[in-house]
Amino acid sequence: MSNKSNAKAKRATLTGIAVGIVIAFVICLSLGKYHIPVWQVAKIILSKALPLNLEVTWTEQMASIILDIRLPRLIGAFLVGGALSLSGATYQGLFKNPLVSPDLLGVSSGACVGASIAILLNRTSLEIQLAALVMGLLAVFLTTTIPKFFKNNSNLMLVLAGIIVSGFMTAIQGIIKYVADPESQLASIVYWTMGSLASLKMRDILLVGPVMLIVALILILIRWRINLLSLGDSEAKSLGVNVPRSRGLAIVCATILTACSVCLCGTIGWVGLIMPHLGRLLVGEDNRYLMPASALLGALFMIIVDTVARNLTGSEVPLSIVTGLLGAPLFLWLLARQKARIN
Amino acid sequence: MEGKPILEVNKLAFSYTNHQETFSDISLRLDKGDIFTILGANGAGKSTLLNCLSNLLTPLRGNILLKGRDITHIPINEIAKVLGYVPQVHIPTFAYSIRDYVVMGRAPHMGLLSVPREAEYEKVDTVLEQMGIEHLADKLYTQISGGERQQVQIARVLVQESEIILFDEPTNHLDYGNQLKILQIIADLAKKGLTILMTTHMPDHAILLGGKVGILDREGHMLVGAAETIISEESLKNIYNTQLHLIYIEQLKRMTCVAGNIK
Repeated sequence: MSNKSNAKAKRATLTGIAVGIVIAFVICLSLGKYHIPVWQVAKIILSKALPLNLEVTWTEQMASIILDIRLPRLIGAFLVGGALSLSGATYQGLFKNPLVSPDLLGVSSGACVGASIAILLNRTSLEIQLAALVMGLLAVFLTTTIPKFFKNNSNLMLVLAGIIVSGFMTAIQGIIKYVADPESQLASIVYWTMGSLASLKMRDILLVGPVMLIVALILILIRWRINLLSLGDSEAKSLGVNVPRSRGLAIVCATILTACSVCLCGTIGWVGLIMPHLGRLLVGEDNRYLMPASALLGALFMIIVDTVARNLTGSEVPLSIVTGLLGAPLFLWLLARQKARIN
Repeated sequence: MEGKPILEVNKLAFSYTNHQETFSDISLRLDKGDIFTILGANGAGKSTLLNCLSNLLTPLRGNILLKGRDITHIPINEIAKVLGYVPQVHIPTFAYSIRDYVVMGRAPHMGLLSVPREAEYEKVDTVLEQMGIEHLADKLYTQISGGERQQVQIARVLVQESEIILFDEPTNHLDYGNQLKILQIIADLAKKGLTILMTTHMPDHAILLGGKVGILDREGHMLVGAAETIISEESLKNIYNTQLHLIYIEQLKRMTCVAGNIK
């Protein structure tokens, strides 16, 4: 009986975070160099989203700032934060290790190489995004191919292959940085690898967003399988789980999510690692609740992070700096809380 | 016994490398309600044999028939409906509650996208109650004792509703009281018609449970027979390389296995 109320409390927590996202979304839309009151923001959004005939109390400029500049950024932040955290929770479950982050199998280092090559060849921003996506996926494909040569499909082999591929990609990245023009290209590469949503357009979101939502939905649907896989290969198999198939599906989905976020805003650290930990504190370790909770918390966190990045100084601060500044103390606090619980 | 045996193993051989076979020519037949205990030295291949039988490892030669069907032709979740496996006690990385852990035993009966609901949890609660461990239901798996963990794992395999249960050294790392408690549970399961196959380091446990025994020697051959005929001072010396004594205890009306004195 107590368990039923427990499940209810967890569902209430999830709903609470979702409501928090909506509130944060509206507040963050109003914040910026050009401050627009929250009620104006709500009216602009409502008049766009619903066929309401509201009295126009805002200027064209306000509507343009909200709809063309801030809205795409915040939708991007929502998608990226949710995606990185959901794939982080998935990877941590799959690899039975709560210290794993979504770039374990080399997706980020691969994406960095792709983007850097495109920057080196003076390509457009769309081409840079595509190159990042393709190279990120290619790196993970390489990682998952290595164990096949050894006819060993254990988790450990996969992690080691990830280390090899990541290391190799980082070396190539080093070569590219070394030959890049330090005045322009090197700066772009460095800026790109620290992550930013500043130049995000609605077009990018419409291109990548639907893919992310579909893949996230698949992961949410198979979330109980992640519990089974987290027991280890042989135990999962003895419970009738087709391990290579289930794990493969989860890895493909989590990788696509990470690669898509890298393609939207470059690489961003910390989010995928700590949001699942925060989620465990709120709803426990059962992935049935943890995976949705991580996704929602990540989305909320990135909405706040992007707004801080936009408003902290006169110019844009790269996202990884903000996630690090907020994330490291948060992680420390989480560890302190967990230690208190264990003792 | 008439009818097909529930588990039949024919001339099974396994090898980790290409040079040396871990075991070869292993054959056995188990019927409903049988208890089969495998004895053998460290490294003799007991766990390997168990892993082959539970389809975690692929044998080199020979075949395993589950209710008359070759195990290699049965889909993995169908195998799990017939064959349950209780691994050695270990602590998983994530702290699931006992109910959430035990409910995973329902996995072979559920589809890829399904999540356990009321009906599945009712089965869990019934089994926990039958085993008298319902007080553990909402505790975390990482917080309970070794003896309790072993009982929880058995609860999970019961929720799985398989007909054969494989135990890998079920009494390992348990104190004396918990060892006997687990043996009692195993004997009760066999009485209910479940088929039990387990490995152990304790000859006494094989004697206590009775039934069939397989002695796996260092050359990878297995001698199979009834417990009372196959466990002898000579066969035990072969396994453990030390002199052990089989003594009849009048008070208990059974044999027991004791070590000689330490010099």
